[in-house]
Formats: sequence, structure tokens, C-alpha cells
Amino acid sequence: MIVIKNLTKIYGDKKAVDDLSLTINAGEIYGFIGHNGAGKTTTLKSLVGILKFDEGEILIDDMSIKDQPIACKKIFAYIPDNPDLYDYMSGVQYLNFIADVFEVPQAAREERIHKYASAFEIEGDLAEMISAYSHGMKQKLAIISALIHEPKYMIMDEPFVGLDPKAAHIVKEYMREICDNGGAIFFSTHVLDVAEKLCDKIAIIKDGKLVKCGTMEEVRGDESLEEVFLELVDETAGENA
Amino acid sequence: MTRILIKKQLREVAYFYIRDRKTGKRQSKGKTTGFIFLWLLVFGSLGAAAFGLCDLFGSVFFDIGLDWFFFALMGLVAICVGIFGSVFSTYATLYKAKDNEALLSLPIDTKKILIARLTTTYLLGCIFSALFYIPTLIYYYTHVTQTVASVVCSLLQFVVFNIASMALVCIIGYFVALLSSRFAGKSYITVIVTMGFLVLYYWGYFKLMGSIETIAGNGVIFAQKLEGKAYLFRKFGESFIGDIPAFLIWTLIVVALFAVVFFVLSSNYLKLMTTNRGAKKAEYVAEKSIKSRGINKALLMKEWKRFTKSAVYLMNSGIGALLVPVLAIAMIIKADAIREMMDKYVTLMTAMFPGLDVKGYIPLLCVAMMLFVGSMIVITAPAVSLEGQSIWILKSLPIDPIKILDQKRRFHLLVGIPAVVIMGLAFGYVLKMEMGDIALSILVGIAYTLLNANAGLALNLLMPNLTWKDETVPVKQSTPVLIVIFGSFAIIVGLGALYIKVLKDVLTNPMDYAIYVFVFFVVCAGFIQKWINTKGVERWNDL
Repeated sequence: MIVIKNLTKIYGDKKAVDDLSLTINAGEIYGFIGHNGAGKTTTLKSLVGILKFDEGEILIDDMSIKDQPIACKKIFAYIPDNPDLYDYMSGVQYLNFIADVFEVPQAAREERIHKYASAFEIEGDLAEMISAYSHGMKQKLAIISALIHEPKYMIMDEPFVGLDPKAAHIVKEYMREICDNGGAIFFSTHVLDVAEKLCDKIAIIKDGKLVKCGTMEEVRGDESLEEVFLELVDETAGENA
Repeated sequence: MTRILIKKQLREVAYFYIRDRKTGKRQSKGKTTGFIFLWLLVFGSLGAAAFGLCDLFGSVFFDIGLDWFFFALMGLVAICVGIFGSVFSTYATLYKAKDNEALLSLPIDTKKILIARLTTTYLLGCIFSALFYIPTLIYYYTHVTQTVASVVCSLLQFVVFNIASMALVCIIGYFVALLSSRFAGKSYITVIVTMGFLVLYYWGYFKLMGSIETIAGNGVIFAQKLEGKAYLFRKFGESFIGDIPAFLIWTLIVVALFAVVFFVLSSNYLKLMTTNRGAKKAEYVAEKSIKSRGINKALLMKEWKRFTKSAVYLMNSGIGALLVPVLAIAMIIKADAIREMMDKYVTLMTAMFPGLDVKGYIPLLCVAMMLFVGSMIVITAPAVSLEGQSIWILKSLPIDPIKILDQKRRFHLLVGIPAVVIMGLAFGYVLKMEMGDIALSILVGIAYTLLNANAGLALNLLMPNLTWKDETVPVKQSTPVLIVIFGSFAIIVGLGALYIKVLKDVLTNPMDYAIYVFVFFVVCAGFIQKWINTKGVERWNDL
């Protein structure tokens, strides 16, 4: 279980995330939506220990990301919105590096690299330098590197950007597979259709504050997610005005 | 548009010095003052070295009326310094810059992109050559009676010969870019070409130094010979000292050279920026490619790949290690000549300072050489900054930051220590030193390499730059790198001066002093290491 308690992150005078609390239970695909600059990436980066936060607590399986960062990082994988990978490595060298860090045994890494790389149709390109990869190929490689150590939790920032429809479909399958195995997915997206179809729960963030969260049914009621999202965003904008 | 592009280029370079990387706000007054002080230090120390060379040439040539030869030599050196200052970054800034695609997608004439980049290349060359040329002018103006023409020509020459430097830099960079577009091992091509250039440069320099006495002794004959055989060389020298026709001829040659270079470059610039045709697709064989290693080894391999796949990093930060084997072989081949030269100097120095055991200082010279080799390896100083935008990888992985920083330091040592050992052995063999002295010199060199590695890492943690677009910014233009390079020179000179001025009579055996220096380096390295493992890790976590 991932628990975010009263998370606050301040940049200068601005609260990028303001007293945000969320719980992501095992077996859930949890979508995180909001406009540009709402605080999604800041929340995700704080969650994975890349960014220090000012107040609050983040617990992953009851372990604090602040106090036990390495133990936490061993059980999740993170995919950023723009995967800047090591351009000076080939695809397979990068996967090897990640597998080394997670101490994935030789046979298991061979099998997983083959499984995921062939599924994403980049196995033939693995010997190429990452600098020669397209954005989509880099995104696929980042996803494979996240899957290679079979993480319990996956934290993904806009994971479908740059992916072709087939690859996006495969990612969704793997996301469900992780949840079926007792893990959980927490991901941000701007694609509301995907969120609506894929997520068990959804959280909407606006100007760093959590506006609404719950199961898909609880959040949208009889309306579409898009309608709810636009209403909430306009409502908050109106209040602010 | 050209002005906007030039401003963009300059802003990119200046951003680090003016703005805070994280907040984007202006640097504090303290930091700005620190930068200004550092740059003054750099200018001061290089200027002093240049002034020394002026004195060496000037004292010989002014007396025998060979002013033009003084300027021909100093002008050539200034051009070389200008080239030296910008040639390592030309490939990355002029041809394969990170913002190539972004700029090409905009409605901008490629000629304008080229002009903007040439302007920064020109300015960079000007900065480097100014370090050399300003002391030259000061020396010239204070030692030779001036006319209006000589002052005007010598000043205008600064503008002109820097155009020549830029044209030559473009040509070298052009061939590197051309070769790189056809072959896979781009970084190695850059290294080979640059090493070739360096060898040529030093060969020319030492040939000149070797001939200086002959030239001085037979100045008039030499000048007459040159007048006939090297007309252009003479005109080049005369163009600095007020000979208007010579100045016009030289300017015309430079303008013509630049026009040809610009024409060729502008006609092919789009192709050079976008072509990558030669590399054959690498074949993926799972059995060969997938191999498991421990975390430390994986991190070390990562550093190795970062280093070897970047010509800029390899050349600028590891130049010492690359040159050492070449230098060691050259020393062994020329052992007899070096011994003879050393004997000459020992005799000369003994005559100048009677009662001084000059020979006893030779092992200390070896120690200084080891320190010099160690100071030329600056791998850790840009190592944190080079993580750039991909730093999220290491920060999101379950790795103790101490391990990450340890492996950065270890890689520095793995490159630096063999260089020190090879150089120590070669030096010891050539100068027929005792084994104990050789071993101690090497130990001091190793301790210094460790100190250098730790200091570079600590400085980079204190002053990181993760938002660069072109890796020459962290590798060449960053404050940690400058502090390490010039701090190293200051340490070498300072320790030498401390012994000669203060401790010579207390520690009569110079190698006793080397033991204290060794201990000093180890203690300093230990303190910095402790800082890295505590505060340094905190800095890393804050990045």
C-alpha cells in the first residue's frame, strides 16, 4: 500500500503541492489527473524520492521514503514524463545496468529482456546506442527497464506519451498484470479516455490541492470523466477569481 | 535573427555564472565576487606565464633588431592558444550541438545559425588568445619605441589573427565532423585528431625552444635566410609592427581563408548538422550482451562508458592520462638527450648558486612532475554535472548515494593512478633515480590524484549544473573544473615555494619534505572524503 499523508512541497513562495493525502491500495490502478502545472509531477517525484518535500509523509508498505529510501526504491519502479536515458549506452547495456542495480539473476534478466523487448518490438534495436532511439523507443526502453525487476508498484508520469497504439495496449496489460499480482499502479495522464477505461480509482489535482478522489464511479457519477474534470477545474477557477 | 541567435549562444554560456541553477534567480553577490576572483586568478596566472615567454623571446630578438621575428613567434603562439582554447569544443558547439534539431525546426536560415555559432567560437578564441596577447603587447610597448602605425597594427592584429584561429578551428572541426558522420566511433576520431594536433603543437613548440639559441646567435643570417625562403612568415611578423603593406597582405590572406571556410561550411552546414550515414546497425546477440555484475561494478562501467563515449569529456578531463604513455615512450627514447640536458642545467644552476646541492633536487622535480600529471586529470570535477537531465535514473534507483559518489571517485583513480605510475617509472629510469625515491614520488602522485579526485567531486556537489545543453559547459566552462585545474597549479607552485623559501634549511633532504607533502595530501583527501560521505551525500539528495 502507498500512503501519501498531507504532502506539501513549496517552491519559493509557491505551494506546488498543498496538503495532499492519498492512499493507493494493492490491486489498484490509480489515475492522477490535473491541468499542466497542477502538481502531478511534483507529487510523483516526491513519492519516488527524487524530490525532497517540505511537509507530510509518504509510506510505501509502511516504510517511509524519507527514512528508508533504498528499501522503498527496491519495490517500485518509476517512469518519468520525458525519459532522458543514458545516451552513451546501448539499449541492452542500459537494461543490464538496471538489472545489475536490482540484482536480477542472469537467467531471469535474459528471459525478461527477451519477453518485454520482443513484446515492444525493439529487441533488434537493443544493440543500438540510445542516442539513436526515437522518443517512442526511449519510452519503451524506460518501461522495459521498469518491468525488468518485477516491481510491486509502478509510478508513471504520462506513460503513454510517444507510444504507438500497440505498445500502449501492451503497457495497459502489464499494468493490470502487476495489480493482479498484488501490486499497484499510480500514474498521471492527460488522456481522460484512457484514465476512464483503465483506472480503478482516480484523483484530480488543481493548483497543488486534491479536488476529488475515489473510485471511478464515485468521482464521475453519471457524467463522463471529462465533464467532471472540466467542471471541477472551472469551479475552482471561478472560486479563485 | 542573427543577433537573437548570438544572444542565445552567449546566454547559454553566461547562465551558469549569472543565475542559480535551481531557482533561476541571480547568483548572490558572494558567488559573483567568487567567480570574478577566480577568473582574475586564471587571467593572472596565464598572463604571468605569457609574460615570461615574451621576456625569453624579447630579450633575444629586440637587441638584434628582429622585432618582426618576435611577433611572428608570439603571433603564432597566440593563434595556437586561440585554437587550443576552442578546438576541443568546436565539434560539439559548431556541428553537433544539442539544439540542432530545435533550431532547424524553426524558420531560420542555417547560415545565420552558423554565423551565431562562429561568433561564439571567435569570442572564445579571443578570450584565450587575449590571455597571451595582452601581456605580449604590454611587453612590446614597454620595451620598444612605438609609432602610431605600430600601435594601430598591433591592436588590429588581435581582431585579424583571431579570425585566422577561428578559420583553422573550423577546418579541424569540419574534418572531425565529416569523419564522425561516416564512422561509429565518433569520440575516438575526435580524440585521435585532437591528439595529432596536440603532438604537432608540442613538437613545433619544443623544436622552436631547442632552436632559440641558434636563432639568437645567428640572428641576422637567420633573418636573411627567412626573408628569402619564408617571405610570408616575415610579412606576418612585420604586420604587427607597423608595416602597413604587410598588414594589408596578411589581412587579405586571412579574409580570403575565412571566406573560403565560410563558403564551404555554409554550403554544407545543413548536411553536417543532420547527416549520420556511416554507422552500420549493431547486431544484438543476447548471450553476448547480457551479463550480470555487482552494483559497484555496474556503476563503474557506467562511468567508463560516460567517459569513453564523449570526446569532449575524454579529451578535456583525461588528457593527462592519454598523453602520459606517449610522453613516457618519448622520454625513454630520448633518455640520453634528456640526461645530457639535465646535466647542463645542473652545471648551470650549480654555477649560479654555489654550495647548493642541485642534483639532490632532481627527485623533487620528479615529485613535481607526478603532481603535474595528477593535475591534468579532472574526471570527477564535472562528473556530477554530467548526469544532467538523466539524474532521475540514479536518484530513483535503490542505490546508496555514497556508492554512486565512490564509483565516480574510483573511476578517476583508475585512470589517474596508472598515469602517475607510468610517468614515475619513466622519469625515474631516465634520471637514474634511486628506487626509494621513485617509489616515494609515485606515492605522492597517487595521494595527490586521490586529493584531486575528492576535491573535484566535492566542488561539483557544491556547484552542480544539471541543465546544460552542450556537455562542453560542465566539462570545460564550469567553475569546479577551473578551480581544480588552477588550484592544482597553485598547490604545486605553493608547495615548491614553501620548500625553497622556508623549509629548505630545516629539511635538508628534499625527499623528507616529500613525505610531509604525502601526509598532507592524504589528510586533506581524508577530510574531503568525510565531507563527501556526509554533507556531500545531502547535496546529492538535494539535486
